[in-house]
Parts: sequence; C-alpha cells; structure tokens
Amino acid sequence: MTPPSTPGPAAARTVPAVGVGRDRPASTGRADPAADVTEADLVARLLDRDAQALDGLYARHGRAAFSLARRICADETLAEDVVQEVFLVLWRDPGRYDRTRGTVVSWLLTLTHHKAVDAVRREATRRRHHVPTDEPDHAVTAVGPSADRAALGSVIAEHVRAALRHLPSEQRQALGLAYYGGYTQREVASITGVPIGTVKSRMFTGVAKLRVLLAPVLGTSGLELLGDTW
Amino acid sequence: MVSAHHDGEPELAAEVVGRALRALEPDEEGRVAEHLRDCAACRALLAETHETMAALAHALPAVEPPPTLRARILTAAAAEPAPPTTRRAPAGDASAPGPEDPAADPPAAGPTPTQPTPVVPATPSPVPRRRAAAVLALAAVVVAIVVFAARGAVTPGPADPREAVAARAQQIVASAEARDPSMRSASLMEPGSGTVAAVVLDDGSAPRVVPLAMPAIGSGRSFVLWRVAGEAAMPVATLDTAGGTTPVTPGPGTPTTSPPPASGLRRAYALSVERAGTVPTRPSSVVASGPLV
Repeated sequence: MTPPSTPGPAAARTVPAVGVGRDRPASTGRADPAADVTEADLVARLLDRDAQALDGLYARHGRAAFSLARRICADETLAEDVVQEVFLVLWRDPGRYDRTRGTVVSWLLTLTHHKAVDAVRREATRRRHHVPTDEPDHAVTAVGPSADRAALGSVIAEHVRAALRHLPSEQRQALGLAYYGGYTQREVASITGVPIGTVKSRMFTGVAKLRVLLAPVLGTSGLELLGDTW
Repeated sequence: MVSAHHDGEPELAAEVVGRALRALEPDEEGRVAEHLRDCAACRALLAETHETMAALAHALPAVEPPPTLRARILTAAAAEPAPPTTRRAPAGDASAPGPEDPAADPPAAGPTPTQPTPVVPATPSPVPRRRAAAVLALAAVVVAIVVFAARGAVTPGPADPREAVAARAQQIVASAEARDPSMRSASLMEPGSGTVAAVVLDDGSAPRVVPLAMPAIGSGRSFVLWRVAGEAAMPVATLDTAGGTTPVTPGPGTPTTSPPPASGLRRAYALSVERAGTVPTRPSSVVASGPLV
C-alpha cells in the first residue's frame, strides 16, 4: 500500500524536455495557423466571439474530449453530444475557465467527464450492453496527427498508465470505476462489496498517490500538448 | 494536498475528491457544495483533483471524432445568442468559489422517476447505523410474490424511464458478476409499475442492496428486505428512507441461517414496507420482488 518512492516511469521525465511551455505557442491548430497564440489566448478570444479561436481549441482538444466521452458513454452519438455541449459551454461563458487553476485541456476534460457521466446516467439504456471496467487499456482505433506528436502522446499516456499500475489494485479499481465507468461511490461500494467508507478512503488515497506519481506531467506542457497529439 | 486542513474531519476531504469524480450522491453534493463556498483549501483540493483525474483521460487510446462534429459545433456556436457582456472575476481569486469548477453545475437528474436513492451495503459499515430493535421469530410465511424476469422484462419505448432504470440495474449486475462470477442477483420490481426499485447482490454471505427507484413511503416507515425460499421468508435487513441499512439481528426463535437450499425451491428477494423500527414476522406489504438468478 505504500506508494513507490519514485514519482513514476522514467520515460515520462522526458516530457518537459520537449521545451514547450505551459502557455505554449499554438502553431499547429488547423484553424489557427498563426504562431505565438497560446491556449489561454484562444480562450480569451472567445470573449470576443472569435469562432476561429473555438475552432482552434476544438482542433487541439476535440479528439481527447471525444475519446473520453466515448469511453464513458460507450456510444458514439451520445459522446458527440457531450463534446458539443462541452465546447458550447466554453463558447457561452469563457470566463468559467481560470488559467490559474490548471490547463485548458484539464479543464475541458474535467467538464467532458462530468457531462459524460451525467449523460450516461440520464440515458442508462445506452449502456445496456456495455459494462464499464476500471481499466483504461481497451484497444480502440487510435489516430495521431503526426509521428512525433503521437510518440510524445504515447510517452505521456504510458506515464499515466504506469502511474495507475503503481496504485494498489483496490485504489485503482475504485478510481477506475468512478472515472471510466461513471459510477457513484456508493455504487462502487456495492459492486466491489466493500463499505462506502472504504471506497471513499481508497479514492482519496488513490488520488493523493496519483498526484505524486503524475507530478512530472501535471501542470506542464505535456498535457496541453496532448490536446493536439491525439 | 490540503488534507491536513481537515485533520478533524478527514471525511470532508474525501467528499471533495468524490465531487471531483462526479461520484457523490445528490445529498452529498449539496453538503460539499455548501462547504466549498467557505473553504478555500478544499477548493484548491478540488482543482488539484480535477487536474489529476483529467490526466487519466490520457491513458485511453485515442479515438478520432467524426469529421462532422467540428462543423456541428461551429454551426451551433454561430446560432448561439449574444455573448456574455461581462468578464468573470480576476483569475486566481481564491476567496470565492471559482468559476473554473466544472462541477459547479449540479449533476443532471438521473433516469429514475423518484428521488434518487444512494447505494448502501446491507452489511455493517464503519459508520454506526441505527440498529433494528425487533428480534424476530422464525418467519415461515407465504409470500405472494409476483416474479418478473430480472432481465429484459421491461420493454417499453426508449423514452420510458423504467427502461433506463432497468438498464442501470442490468449494468450494476453485470459489473458485479464480472468481478465475482459466483455473484447472484435479484432485480426487485414493483408489480404495479414494472419499475426496478432496487437490485440485490448476493455473494452467498450478506446481500447488498442497490436502491434505484424506491417508492416514496413517507416518514415513520421503512423498508424491510426479505430472503425468500419457497414458502419461507426471512428478514435480512431494514432500509430507512435515507438509504441507511441495518442488518436484522437474529434472536430467539429466529433462524440463524438462511433457509436451506433445495432443488425446486423458488428463491427470491422481496421488499416490504413496515412501520419504522419494527420488523414483523411476515411482510406486511410487499412493494417489490424478484427472483434470485
């Protein structure tokens, strides 16, 4: 149960070496080819109803958001609705994003997660034949925009997977059922056959350990970059 | 992390993590939201947890969205009404609930037509629960149980909320079975409405109850879960309207073991409504039941 002394796989330490800052210039967005545009700049431009900025953000993070929504919803149409809603939330009120509290992609993915969980609870019929698991490693179509970015994405993805593997299985299971499966804590308790207090404790401890294990990539350019790596 | 902030109330920090995962029940959501308004440390914990959990999305294999989605979003954005005319408070203001919290929206209502009910184990939890006062005599009663097929029994249109509840029940059962192939289950349906009120997961020891769409019974009453074997019914646990569960304690005249399995016996679970704090020798009013499969 003791977290490993090392913060995570060594491979992930290569992430900052890419040299792309947290407020990195965005020169590869399809709708925003101009250099020196940061993620936060794009969000700020939404205040002026700049549709190109929205397009640029979607170009970078739409794939990540869709991948997560599809995983939770297990339904492509529902996942599309979720992603559309997420970007429209940002479009309607860009001020909801606070750059001091995290990266744009983290904010978008958190909102995607919440919207997807809400959607799947509303439309439980969508999951009739789908049993969400607590593991992320289920093969689906993977498409990357370029070899180097895909490689970097793979490094970070493997870092996250390794961090999950470092967790005690019961913590990984509890967090996985909640995050990937959309189950409530009490549902997780029922499914796994442990008291609700134990589930809460496992989730809290698991998150604390993940925070340490993922420290090399959290709040760095890595996760931002993944937005257009996917 | 800021858990040290709640040395005396560690459960609060755990609830904040639960909120970040969108994994709280509605009643818990309200309590945590209220706390977050006054606790900057917990708001910071919430933001940290959001960021940490969002990283888990990157462990998933990437899936390319349909090409039409981009146009859909841009078209919908263009059709939106006027943009906001005011900007938010300066970023980084930790003195107020941050607009950055994507969970600021309350969770969407669930598919159930009744008040969402939390999932609770029928086994004792670390949190002290109210004990049933009654000590029961052996129950050998005839229970008129309307047995519904646990799966696929409700087949109305896709908009029917009963179908959504039934699907949720199936999903919970499937997940439980995936982890323990020996797990048996019973979906307890209301004879009148055909709604799955709850699911019982039975691993051979203590059954666990997953309330889904429990009927409203008002104050002063509680549910009692019965294990049924043929003509015999034995009380297993009481459930109060808040979701609390208390195992029924065997006493003099109460069987200390489950009814012996026998081939041909119909085994099921049933839910009855009783006066709060009491467990009769036989169910007063069965509101939902289902076969153990």
